[in-house]
Amino acid sequence: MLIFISRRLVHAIPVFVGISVLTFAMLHLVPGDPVMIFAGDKPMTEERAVMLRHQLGLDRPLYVQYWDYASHALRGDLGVGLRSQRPVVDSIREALPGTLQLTITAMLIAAVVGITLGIIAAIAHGTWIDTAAMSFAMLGISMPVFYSSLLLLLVFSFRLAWFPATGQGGFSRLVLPSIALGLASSAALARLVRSSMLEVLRQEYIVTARAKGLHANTVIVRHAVKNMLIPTVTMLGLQIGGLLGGAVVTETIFSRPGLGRLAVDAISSRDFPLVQGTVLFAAATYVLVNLVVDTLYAAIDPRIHYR
Amino acid sequence: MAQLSVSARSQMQERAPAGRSPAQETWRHLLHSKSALIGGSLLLLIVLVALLAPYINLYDPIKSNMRSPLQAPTLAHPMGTDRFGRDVFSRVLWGGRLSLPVGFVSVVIAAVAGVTLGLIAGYYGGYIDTVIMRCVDLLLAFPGILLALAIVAVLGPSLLNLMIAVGISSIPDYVRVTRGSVLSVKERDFVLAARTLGVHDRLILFRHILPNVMAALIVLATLGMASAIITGSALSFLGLGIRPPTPEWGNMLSEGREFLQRAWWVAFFPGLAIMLTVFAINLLGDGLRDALDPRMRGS
Repeated sequence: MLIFISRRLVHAIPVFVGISVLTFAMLHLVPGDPVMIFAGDKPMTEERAVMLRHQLGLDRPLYVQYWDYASHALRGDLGVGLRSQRPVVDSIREALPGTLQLTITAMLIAAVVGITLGIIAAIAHGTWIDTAAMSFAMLGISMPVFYSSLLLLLVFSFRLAWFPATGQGGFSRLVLPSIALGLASSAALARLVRSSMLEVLRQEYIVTARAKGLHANTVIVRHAVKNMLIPTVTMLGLQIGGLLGGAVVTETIFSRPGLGRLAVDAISSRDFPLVQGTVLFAAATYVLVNLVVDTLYAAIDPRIHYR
Repeated sequence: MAQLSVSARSQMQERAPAGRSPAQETWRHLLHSKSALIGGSLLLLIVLVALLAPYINLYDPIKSNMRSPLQAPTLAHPMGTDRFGRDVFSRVLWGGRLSLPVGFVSVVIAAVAGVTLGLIAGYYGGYIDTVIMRCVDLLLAFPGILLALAIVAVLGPSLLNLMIAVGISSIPDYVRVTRGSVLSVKERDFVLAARTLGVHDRLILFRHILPNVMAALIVLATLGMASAIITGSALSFLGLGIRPPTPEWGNMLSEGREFLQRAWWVAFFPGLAIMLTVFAINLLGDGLRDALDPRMRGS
């Protein structure tokens, strides 16, 4: 197990290096002189540009600059935001809990709704219940997060006034954004759970279990669901990316402080150190999360050996 | 389908009953698939309406009319008016002329790049394969919309950059699907035969291997168009894509968001247009998958 995890960690190192190179390159790929980005709207004379370039280390060779950037990042120093003039790490640390809260709740909603809907549809295969569940799932995957967010806001905040529209803090402010965010994932999950459940139900061991007179519920819960969990966990892992990405939109609509909004605000105000920092952080976290999912996957399925 | 290699064609014919060609067989299944028919016709209608927008329009989609701001839907304005008194219906029609091409062009960008890389990686294997797949892993390390966001951050917001950003961020799917299929096909007899005959690699790749990947790619590209439209309009919604006053479904939704409480129609209808389009494409994609994949038939 430990060997398996450490092997995967070693394999992830080139990806981490790649991410850091890409985020470092962002600043230099922007058309124009990086100094102009740091200067912002302030007027720029030639002498000031030279001075600033030297001050920021932009006159050094690229590999020196990258080394500097990467070694600082490893020590948890992602530079200072241009607009806020605060360490990027502090901004991320402040925004992180909001995003975690949102994505974890959305994930729980997606898992519960998606798995339940998928199992029901598979058991009722071919009936109107199946059709209804799958039509709902089809609508769900076709609904962009920003549209479902606005519709939920319109109905439950503005018309019915059940939940506050914006801001962070408290359960009531978490309900609408996490439903909006979880909806699309739950729909995708329901479709997958249904098809893998249908596949499992056709297997011989299910027929055997039924033939030996086990109760229908026992067959479903003890034999079928267990085997269907493996593709489901993989799918849930894949949904994390969608949820983190969706958080960008949801946080903006519901005015929740979080990583997504931090990134969007940083891009809009061309605060490049902050953009680099949030992108680097999000990507690195995502890679780590996937690693955990892989490990879980191996832990659930005894047929997978740790190699 | 005219470019199917001989052996692939004979293989598909083995599965097709009653001497129909694989193309005919696919059509037959497509026409019998309820989801493909509904999705296809809905999409056709949406595309036609967007194409004909300049001819059926009654109102200018950009010029403001300050005498009638934020009017609820009436017969004259079936979807109401926005804060500048512009007809939302006209703007939704014109918006389709941007939102639909964004989806289409970015899928083309992603497919051309992804398929080429996938063919090369799968066919040559070894060192090239490792390098290409590592780059794909790297692209996949950026969750969801984040990669497109980062690319737009670098290139700056514009229609072309939006298409490039959405396109690049969906390259990995095409590489993986193409490479996987190439790996399963390249050791088959008809490829080995072509190679023994000294057929040029490029010809083998495009004439013998690609047709065998085509079915999977058509489905992927169709479903990819749906997600490209969502990502594209999401970027515009966030103010990082197509900027107002140019009508585009995403930025219209974003403008409407400010008036959600007073004038729901300004945001409701552009959003509905996105959802219906994506819904139609997803239905069509599902139907295509069933029709193109013999294993899915009858299930």
